Amino acid sequence: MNKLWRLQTFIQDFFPKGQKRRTDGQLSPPSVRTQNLQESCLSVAVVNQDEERKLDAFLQILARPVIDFEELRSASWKGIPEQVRPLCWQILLGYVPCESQYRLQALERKRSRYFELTLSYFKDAAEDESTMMQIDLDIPRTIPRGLEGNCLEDVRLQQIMRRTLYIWSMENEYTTYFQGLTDVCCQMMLVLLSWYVEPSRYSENMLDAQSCSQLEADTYWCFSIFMDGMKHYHTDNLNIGMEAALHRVRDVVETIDEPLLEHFDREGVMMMQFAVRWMLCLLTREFDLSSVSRIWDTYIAEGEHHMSDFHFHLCASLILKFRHQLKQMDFSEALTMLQHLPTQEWKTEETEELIWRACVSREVQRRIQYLCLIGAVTQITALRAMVKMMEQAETITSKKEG
Amino acid sequence: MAGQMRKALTYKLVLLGDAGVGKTAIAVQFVKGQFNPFLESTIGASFMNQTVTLPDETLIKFQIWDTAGQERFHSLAPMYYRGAQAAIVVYDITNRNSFEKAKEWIKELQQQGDPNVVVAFVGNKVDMPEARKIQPSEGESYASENGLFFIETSAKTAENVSELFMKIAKQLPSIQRQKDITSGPSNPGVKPGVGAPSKGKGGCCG
Repeated sequence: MNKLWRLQTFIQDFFPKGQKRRTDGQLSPPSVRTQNLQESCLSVAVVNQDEERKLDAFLQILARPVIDFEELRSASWKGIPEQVRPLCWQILLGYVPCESQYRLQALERKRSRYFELTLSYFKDAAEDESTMMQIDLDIPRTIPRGLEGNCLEDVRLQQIMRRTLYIWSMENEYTTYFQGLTDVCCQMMLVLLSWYVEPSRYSENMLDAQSCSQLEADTYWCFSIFMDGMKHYHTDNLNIGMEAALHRVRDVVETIDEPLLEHFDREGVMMMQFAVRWMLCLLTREFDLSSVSRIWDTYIAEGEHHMSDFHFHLCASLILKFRHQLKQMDFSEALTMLQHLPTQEWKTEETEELIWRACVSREVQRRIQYLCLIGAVTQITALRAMVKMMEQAETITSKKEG
Repeated sequence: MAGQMRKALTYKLVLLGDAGVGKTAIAVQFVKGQFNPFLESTIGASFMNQTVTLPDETLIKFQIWDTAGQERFHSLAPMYYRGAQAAIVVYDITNRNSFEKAKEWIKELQQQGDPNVVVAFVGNKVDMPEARKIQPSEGESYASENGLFFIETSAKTAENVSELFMKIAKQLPSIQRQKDITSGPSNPGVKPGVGAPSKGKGGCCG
């Protein structure tokens, strides 16, 4: 119960005093959330002690009057318990201050700023009609992997995505809306929605108008801040942005497995043929909801300046994960595989392993870059040899396991 | 077919057209024989394979590049249509804008695509006659003026979908034979393989 009480105190920081707990059978956020927490905390306690310990650690970090950002960041990097994910993301993204006493105030300011934005962009008919039409076309076609229930059929939630994306597009004139963004926005909205109610249990009109507008404002800001981290390759000319991003991915693959790239080149397989979606949808089409959340925990913990770089390493690790099969495949087979990776069936451990691999790959590349900088040729050769040895050892292990 | 060694010719085919006209639906209907009204938007391009058999037993293996329709992705398109031996340009018969957009794609292909590319001009969604904005005659006359072949399809009911691909397949080898006569044995893009899936890269991009 102590845990529940503590969670409730955080929740109070997010909702203006006097907001009704329960009206006419409609559940307002704190009560819905508490009810869910009670259930989820119970199941956590029964099912998994590790998970419970982890949640405890997070609750301790979050309970401080002034949250230690670095402590939260390093804990979040390894994955955030879903019960506190919405709060952690909002703090890590800098949307919610670490000081609990300023939290409500800051949120009210941001939410009313968003309200002003909606007023200016939706005063009359949409200014940019073609963007609006494109967004309207894409929202019903957004299908997050592993989402149970039919919450996305709800007009209110659709409206949240619609307005978030339109305003974001108008506010970011050099990037503007592109297909695939509905997937990213949807993931963000569903995570924030889980603060109020489990998305799979959401039913129409479950949220009152006030909660809906709060969710919308929070979705907009968190989505915007998150996208800022990826902005530099979402350029006006997608071709140029993608070339640059995928060149980085290729670079990483080359450091670790040059023969794989040589095989790709021989067969005519190019990054642009399969990885554009990874870059634009940020893996929402490759993994199920909970795995995407887990991967994004690390991205968000990396922070604005490092998240895209980490994303490149993760994508490279994703290719490398299947390299033994890929090396045996011709153009058609390889492309079919890369466009339909079996990642949606992955278990938690496999996703964790991928994140870990991305981290190792980044460390290796950072060291090589550093050694290049100081001109330490022998060390670079030694490091490359070490990488090769590691890879060989792994090949032997995987063969044994196979 | 198992164990039988048959000659399969691999061709690169690209689907172009405005967003939401049904490019993916046509490809999925052709490859898997399924229809889903809420297919996700295509990002970049998705890749599919399908083999058809011509009456003379020739196997034609299509490497299908189904591209994203949004204008925002236009700068990526040349990567997918470059080196393609066939193109399907799709519009939605209930949407005038998509028809205009399709004409733009045709112009672009004529200017920048392979001069021998077989182009099909396709009006999709004939299962919605009540909402029709483009008459078949309009599509037909545009196609004949530009030397394309014209067909109306419904990815939903599968009407004319396999006919569309068969028609393309029938046109391909003849063009290829002509090419062989004029330019000798080297004809990049077409790689005869053994059986399906054929070994070796098909006409890929770049």
